Amino acid sequence: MLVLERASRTTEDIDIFWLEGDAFQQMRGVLSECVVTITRRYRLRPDWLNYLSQILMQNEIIIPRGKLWKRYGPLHIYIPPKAYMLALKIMAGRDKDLVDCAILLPQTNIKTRQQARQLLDRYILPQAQEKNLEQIENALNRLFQK
Amino acid sequence: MLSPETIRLMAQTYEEWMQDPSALSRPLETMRWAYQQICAGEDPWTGLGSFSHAWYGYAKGRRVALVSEPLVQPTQETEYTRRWGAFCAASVEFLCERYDIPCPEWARDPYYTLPTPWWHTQQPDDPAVRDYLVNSTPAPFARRDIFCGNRLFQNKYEMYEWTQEARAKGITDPGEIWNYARDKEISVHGA
Repeated sequence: MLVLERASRTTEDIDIFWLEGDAFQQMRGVLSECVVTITRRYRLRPDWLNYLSQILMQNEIIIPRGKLWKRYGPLHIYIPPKAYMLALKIMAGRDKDLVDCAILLPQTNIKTRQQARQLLDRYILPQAQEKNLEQIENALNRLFQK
Repeated sequence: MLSPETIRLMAQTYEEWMQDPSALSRPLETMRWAYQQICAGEDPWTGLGSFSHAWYGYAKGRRVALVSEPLVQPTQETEYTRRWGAFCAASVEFLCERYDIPCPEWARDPYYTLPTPWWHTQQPDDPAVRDYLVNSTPAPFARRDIFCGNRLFQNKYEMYEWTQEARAKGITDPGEIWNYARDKEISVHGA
């Protein structure tokens, strides 16, 4: 989604969160057929459509209501708020995530460390913040003055 | 929140996608290729990110091939290309150490030690940030005078595998599954 935010780097995969569990169960076959067809047609990596983050994080975050971006028949694609993307990047805290944070920060109203903490409170559940405390602190230290 | 059954199906579907034989016919996104992308002006984490996806994802069975070819020096070396060349060499040594892959000789070339420290942060003058980076940067980077912290190659592929491993061991509580995976992550990456 950072591609939509004019990031200087291209994306490696498209991270998605599947919003309707029942629909996944019903559409699994069609989805797989589509993904594999696109993988082969464009010689992409097999993981170009990636929901591993959802499998890993669904108990840790509050998924906000997104803005409808595209509709392809029954497939509706929603774009999450930038602030939410920023919160997830702060929690991930890797070098490349901090680069992405620097792109996203000016596009949000977050100016201070305290505001960033409030943002985390909005989207990241307390137990997840506690578990990821060290990387969150490191990310905040590198993004904001103490 | 998705049900455990949906999550199980999603995991199964993902595994099926990974088995697609078309991945074998793709050109490998090697470290040499990543560095070429950097020298050509791409954002460094575009090439390194693609390399990382190959290393942990679709080409994890071909790791030797991902790092064996030496980097090609650009026609005109700059501080920028020199730094990222050193970063690539350090990354190769770091990853080879952790995954029991023989480290290629080219990565140990003293040329890839920087003449002056590179503080890989937006706040290079902040003593607290420097202290943190000195204390947390893995040895293959620090030896080359690159100070970048220790969250470089953490990735969702391994975390996913470790959560699956935890489930296979009979762990069902989501918190315990996370703790299991996180402990594994710390043991491999140090953070």
